[in-house]
Amino acid sequence: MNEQILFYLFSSFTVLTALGVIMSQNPVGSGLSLVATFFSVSGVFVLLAAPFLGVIQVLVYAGAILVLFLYVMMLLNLSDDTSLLNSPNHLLKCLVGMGLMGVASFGLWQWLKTIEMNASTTDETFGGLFELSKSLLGENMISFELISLVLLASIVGVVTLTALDRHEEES
Amino acid sequence: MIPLQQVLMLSFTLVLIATVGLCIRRDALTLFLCVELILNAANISFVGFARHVGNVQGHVAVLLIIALAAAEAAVGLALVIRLKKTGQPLLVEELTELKN
Repeated sequence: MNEQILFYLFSSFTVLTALGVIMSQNPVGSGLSLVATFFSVSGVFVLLAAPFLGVIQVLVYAGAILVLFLYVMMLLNLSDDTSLLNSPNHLLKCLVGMGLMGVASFGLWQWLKTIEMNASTTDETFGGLFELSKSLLGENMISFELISLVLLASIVGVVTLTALDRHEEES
Repeated sequence: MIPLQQVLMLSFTLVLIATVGLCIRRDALTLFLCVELILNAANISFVGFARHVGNVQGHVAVLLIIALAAAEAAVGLALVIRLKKTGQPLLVEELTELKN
């Protein structure tokens, strides 16, 4: 029962902060809302028997990627985006959007009722570090190597994009 | 034990919110944040299914997605910084040409 209440708490916090991301006027406000979203998603991960992923989410996603985002936002000094509130028929658009979302959610809920609900694992060591690393470096070895290649490609891309800048400034 | 339906509903709600955000926002960085939100919704769904099936492959997929999002964020931000140097505002409606 406690798990259920905690899950409702974390998921409602996730949805609220996600709404804060899209409705914030300031880009920095969106970034900070997204940090809060990541923290609550990490809580959801822990509730879903994935404690290592919860920690990794906070460390890598909220702690590195979003910090990078916030650095860039602070560096660029972006202006506020007030086009949402000033647009005509704003309330009508919100209601139509919510109506569509309600219809889609209702359809999904009807389909989801047909799925067998019981989880098949009661093992306490599920989602632990040992099994995860055994799987990552065992049968998913190729994906692991490929993702390191992707990271290398992104590093090369970033350096190329910013080094071209410096070349132009010097010449 | 949290039922799978609720996990999937949460993931679906996040995807909807992020897609709506992707459609209504104009500046490039906020669009990028919405894409990250979609990836997180996919992560939640992966973890839910991993617990349902009993396989750790879902967790491995989440790790790979997080790493991919990091790579994509780095390249996207480098592009944004580069675009800012041209002096135009970073609104997607006005970034229509590939040159400059």
